[in-house]
Amino acid sequence: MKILVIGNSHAASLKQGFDRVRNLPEQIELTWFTCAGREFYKLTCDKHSFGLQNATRKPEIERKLIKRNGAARISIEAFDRILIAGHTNGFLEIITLLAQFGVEAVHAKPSTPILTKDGFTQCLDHILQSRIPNWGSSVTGIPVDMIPAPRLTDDVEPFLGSAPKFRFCRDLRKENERLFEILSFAEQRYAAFASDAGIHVLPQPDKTISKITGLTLPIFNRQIESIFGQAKAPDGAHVNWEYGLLAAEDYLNYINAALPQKVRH
Amino acid sequence: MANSPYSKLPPQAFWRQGVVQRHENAIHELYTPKFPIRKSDRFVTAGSCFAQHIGRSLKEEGFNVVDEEPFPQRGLKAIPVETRRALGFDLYSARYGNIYTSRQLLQLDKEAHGDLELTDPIWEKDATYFDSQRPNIDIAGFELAETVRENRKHHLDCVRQAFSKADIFVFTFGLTETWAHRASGEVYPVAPGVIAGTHDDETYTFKNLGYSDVLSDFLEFRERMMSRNPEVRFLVTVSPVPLTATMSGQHVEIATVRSKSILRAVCAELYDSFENVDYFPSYEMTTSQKNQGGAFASNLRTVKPSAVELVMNSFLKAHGYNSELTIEGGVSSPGLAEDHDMDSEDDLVCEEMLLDGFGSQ
Repeated sequence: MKILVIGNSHAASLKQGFDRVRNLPEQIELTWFTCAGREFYKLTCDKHSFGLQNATRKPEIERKLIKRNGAARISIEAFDRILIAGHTNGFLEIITLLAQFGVEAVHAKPSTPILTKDGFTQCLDHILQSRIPNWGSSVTGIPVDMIPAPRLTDDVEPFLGSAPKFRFCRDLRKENERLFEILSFAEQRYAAFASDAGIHVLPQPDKTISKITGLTLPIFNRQIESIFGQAKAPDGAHVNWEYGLLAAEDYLNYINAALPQKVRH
Repeated sequence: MANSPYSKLPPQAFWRQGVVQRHENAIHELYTPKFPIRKSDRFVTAGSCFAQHIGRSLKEEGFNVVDEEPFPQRGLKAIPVETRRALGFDLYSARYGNIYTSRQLLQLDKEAHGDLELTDPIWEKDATYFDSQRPNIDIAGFELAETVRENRKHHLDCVRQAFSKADIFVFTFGLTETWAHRASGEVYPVAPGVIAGTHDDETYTFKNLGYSDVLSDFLEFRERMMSRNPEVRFLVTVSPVPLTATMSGQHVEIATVRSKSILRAVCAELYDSFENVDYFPSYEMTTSQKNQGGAFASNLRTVKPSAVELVMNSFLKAHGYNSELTIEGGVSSPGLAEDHDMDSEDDLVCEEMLLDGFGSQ
């Protein structure tokens, strides 16, 4: 089975995870087409190919894609499935929303407007729907799956100075005993919206999630590497090969179950 | 021609030249500002649903429109403006929704400054709870009455902040008809039972404010504002949108004229009496015979976006800002002759139109 993996910087942990999968079935053949997030969200997909359109207008992106992948666009016609790796699923915006609003019976936030659960869900849905890529199976003609970007680290303290999202997270960890539930709820709704768009979303591996806060256990945010295996400084957002291995195994189990009996590995 | 007091009057003093012969793009001639405005002035807006157009237009043109209870923008661009508005945000200078009457405005100011505690602040519907003063802000309703109280407390803090910041307070008078709590006299933006609450004759009563009511309400409000903020100026308008329904017992068209006439007369009195009150004739610009009804959509009630554009561009032009505002759903070229028909209400958040559902089909 030929699988095209398209992704951003979060694809690195998945690649390293796949590299460590024991007994990766021979019929599974992975091809990687990745780039940094700032380029990734500018790429497009149709039933023939994925990558950069109008490359001549974006020479810098074209150059980076060619340097990393050998081409600015890749044909999808020879593949059986597509796996999107590391696409954002709106969780950062959800944390931003919760940092600025109270939600009745869900999230107390003094000195802010309070939304009803229904009002919050409306906002949540807009956020989640805005993060569904337009690359579903109805566009590609082949099954499309997604392993989204991991949730932020549960240990935000080292990163408080780097971005407001970590400060929001710190406050939410203190204030909200139901953050785990909120993020689980959001994950399920995101998967449902993506399914409507022809994309199967795999949940974040259960073993990687703090059962208290719903954020990523810090052990998975250590010793991270780029897709080329170079060590990178921890940033609270990216995860390591151990996470990637769990995600890869979940994915292989999923596609194995999704396959017709006679071709299962 | 014999000398007469009329012989030296400008063309706009005469109906034939001022109205019949007026170019359709020259509607701005109806308005001569009493005082100048600057983009840096802090505008606080409130009023009936038509007032939303004023706030939006000023914002779009880069005026400093105060919003003390905003929908946070940072990191939340995915949430569209329609949803933000449906939740009561991005409409006015705080999340108070439409303020249809002078009484409601005065009441809000008193409550925000601790001079009034509402007798009936919470309405119930199907075991959910609503703010009786703004039941439309989050239409699902809250699970707990306490949440409504807490939310209102935060809201009143924002109202107090907003009102204290006003260099120019813009108010659009919308209605004289209102519903009141019999015992306390408190009024509501919408009748109990329409969105939430339950109507009963023993608790609630219909009230149709008269000229002296509206005038005294606004005079008291003005006094209160000026006691805290002596430099504040007022820009008042009358909504050209007719009543959706009337409880007065009169024909709705007669009731509309009564209501608008009173509101217009109060504006005239305020304009004539106070240097710091200006009147912007959006009402006349929209309802002018010159338009032959063309400013209204096919329901004869909704103001066409093209007409709103023309009115708001006239306001800005009169103040020296050559604007070509585009109102959502409107057409950018001026003139009211375009056939921009609308059977439904426009994109304003407007509780009053809910009354239409009570009419027979």
